[in-house]
Amino acid sequence: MNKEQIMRLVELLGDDSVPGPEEKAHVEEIRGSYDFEAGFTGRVMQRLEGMQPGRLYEGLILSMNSLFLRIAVTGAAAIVLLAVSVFLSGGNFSFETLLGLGDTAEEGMISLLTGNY
Amino acid sequence: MTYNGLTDEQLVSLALNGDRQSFSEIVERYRKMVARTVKGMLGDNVYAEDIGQDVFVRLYHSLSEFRGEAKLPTYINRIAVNLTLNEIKRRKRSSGVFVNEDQGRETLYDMTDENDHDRRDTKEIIGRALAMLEPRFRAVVVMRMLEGYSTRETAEVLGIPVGTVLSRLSRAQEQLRTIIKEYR
Repeated sequence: MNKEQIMRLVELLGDDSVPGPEEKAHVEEIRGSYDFEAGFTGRVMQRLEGMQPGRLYEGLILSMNSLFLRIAVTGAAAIVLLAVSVFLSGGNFSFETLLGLGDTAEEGMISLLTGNY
Repeated sequence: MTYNGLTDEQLVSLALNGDRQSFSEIVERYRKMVARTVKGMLGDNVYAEDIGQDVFVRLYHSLSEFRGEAKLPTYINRIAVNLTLNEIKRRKRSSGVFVNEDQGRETLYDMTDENDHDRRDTKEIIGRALAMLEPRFRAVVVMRMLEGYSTRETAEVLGIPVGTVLSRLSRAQEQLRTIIKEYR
């Protein structure tokens, strides 16, 4: 096919009318040239055979592991950010400050826990 | 039992009852159609085979959801388009492995340097030209040019209004005209 013939096919894109025999032949030529490598159907069926319930379970475990890993990394990043934020706002980096207990007096905590206000 | 004389509905029904051979017939029947969609949109590369297999694996697992509201090829092509668009997005995000517009343009020029149009593979030239289009434009061109769908059928497969198909086709045509005009 030459440039003009390809251009003609491009012009037909927006037109739903039936193409002429020449264009139809060109389209068929292009359409017929697409395929997968030989044995494609067999490979698909082999993949489906491999998806037995046991293997699906293994796949599920693997994907869960990957999910948990992602959550763990995200959680660790959040803790680091929180620690940095606490350090910047509080000026120190004690465990109490990290838990938000930095300014809480011991007596206040006891009365809070025992209910004796 | 011969399967090639059975209708799509009969094959689906048999496959749902655990008949693997009937599903194999479905794959055989629509293999080339999926190849056109996937390779037309993604290019003829190593990923196309994987996506093609994924399309049929996805189809197999969703056969019970197939209600016959759309024709089976339309249903399969919808899966193919969605998986291919996902792959294009994934590749664009992760690396430059996928041919981008500039690379496609460069390659098209390289191919056309020889000034011998007849020897050139039309499929490859069209493939390179398609690679220069945005994926959403590429999808409508593939449906119309390679699959031979009408604008209404294209809209049905892509799940967009007919008006959107027409406007995308018009934009794609403009771009393809420019690309092919520059072809020496």
